[in-house]
Amino acid sequence: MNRPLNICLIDDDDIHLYTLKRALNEIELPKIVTTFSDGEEAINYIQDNIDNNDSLPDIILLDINMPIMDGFDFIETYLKLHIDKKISIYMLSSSVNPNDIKRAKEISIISDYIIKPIKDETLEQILHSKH
Amino acid sequence: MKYSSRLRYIIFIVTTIILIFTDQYLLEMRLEDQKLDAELINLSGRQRMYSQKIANQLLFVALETDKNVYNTSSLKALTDEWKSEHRKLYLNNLELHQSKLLDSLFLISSNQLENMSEASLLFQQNQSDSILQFSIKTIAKLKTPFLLNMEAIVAEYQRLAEQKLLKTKNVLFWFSWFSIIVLIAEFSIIIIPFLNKLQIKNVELEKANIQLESFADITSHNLRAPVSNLNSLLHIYNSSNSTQDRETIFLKIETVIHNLTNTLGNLLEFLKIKNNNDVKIESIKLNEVLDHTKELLTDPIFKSSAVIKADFSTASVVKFNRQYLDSIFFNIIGNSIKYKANDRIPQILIKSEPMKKKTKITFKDNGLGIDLKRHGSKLFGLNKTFHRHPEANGIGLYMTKIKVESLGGTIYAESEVDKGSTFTIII
Repeated sequence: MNRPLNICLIDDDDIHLYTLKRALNEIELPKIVTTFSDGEEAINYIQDNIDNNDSLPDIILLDINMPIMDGFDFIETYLKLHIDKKISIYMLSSSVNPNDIKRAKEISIISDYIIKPIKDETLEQILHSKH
Repeated sequence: MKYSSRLRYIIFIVTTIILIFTDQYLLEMRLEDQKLDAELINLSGRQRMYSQKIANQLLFVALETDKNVYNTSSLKALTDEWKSEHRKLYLNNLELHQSKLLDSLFLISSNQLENMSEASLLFQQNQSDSILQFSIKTIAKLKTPFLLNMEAIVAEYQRLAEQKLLKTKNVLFWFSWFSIIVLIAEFSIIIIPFLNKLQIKNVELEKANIQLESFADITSHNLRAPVSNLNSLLHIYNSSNSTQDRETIFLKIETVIHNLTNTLGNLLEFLKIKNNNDVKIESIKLNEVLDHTKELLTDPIFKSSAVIKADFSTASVVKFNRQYLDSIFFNIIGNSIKYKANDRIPQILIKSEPMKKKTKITFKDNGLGIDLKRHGSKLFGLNKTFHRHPEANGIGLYMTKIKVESLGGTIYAESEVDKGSTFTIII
């Protein structure tokens, strides 16, 4: 795969997006990072690019607590889009609420639930698994 | 409080037990009575049988010329027994029944027997024809009324027993009604309020539980998120070599610290509300609260040219905590201005109405509105924001709800996208 990895970050916390982007930059792989500050913005983007597999993300790092459309609402809407491309979705949240964790584990398309802050090694593993 | 509810509970149990035992006691008394009555009827029946035997034997003794055929001693024994039983029954009647009818029946029958015995005795002592004739006549004449008398005694005993049975039946019937009424009364006075209290406590507990969960969420998210950010920023800061880059990072650290301080403030406020043991309730004039809110919001009101109208004519005073009410007004009115529609001047109408014991206050605006079908369940939730607004922090309505509910009030919202929202509090 020579095409750069398409990584999509969905989080309303600017600081977290900033640190995440910095951490991603440290990983030496060709990649494109797109950020959205809530689920609805991301859904709009995916809908606009639904026929263009290359523009669709390979990896989504999804926060739970966001305005307008939160992480779980995003997943619900995302499932309705019936996207062919195999996109790995990771839930990335500072919530240690067992309900959130259980709910995330019950959704099969969520690859993993990661509690913030994500470790650099974990981030690297995620990227390499897709490359 | 606890003591009195326990006392009521004990009263309920004790009275129930007393009722059951009284009922049982009455039944047993009745059974005992019935046994005694049966014995008496039996006895009087036997007496009647004896009387028949005695009357017959007296007649035989009189008729029988050969004195030795009939044994006078057996007749004497029979008569003695009859007399002793008769006396017993007579005394028993005096003691227990005091039936005048029985009393006279006893006297008459014992007189009749006496007369018959005398006639028989007279003949035995003096066996002349004329006396024989007289004796037989006397005995034959007395025999039938005597037997009828004895019959009447049995019948009277039966009647008395039946009367008693009817009486106890009545007593038991009314006692059952009494028990039912007592139990129903106690049920409605003791058990139902008790259940109601339990129900209310249960609802309160559920609410407290939900709030505690939210509290766990606050600590989980609102504190963990900035701390995790700080750690990440620190990590980047340490690995950075450029001074300029470090400065950028430091500015971000400052932002996070600012947020963290805010969150801590909110947390403390939340804890204070949760421990609301010393929250002062006072009569508050609504127009004072509104004036205070307008003062605090002077700047946004001025910038948005918002028009705020109020009608407190039908309910001008509420009983609540002043700080809470100030903050509730500040939040709801502040939101109306914050989330104003771009194409129109915000208009806010605040109206109060008296309710049974509480006051209803509505805040109607013409702002952006919220899609309640989509967000309704989260409207008052923590960290939920519905508009992309830089100042939306998802805590205002949550705290408002907690403040309203902590003092027994309710809050709800109606809204239509791009028409406006109406928030209603009942306090």
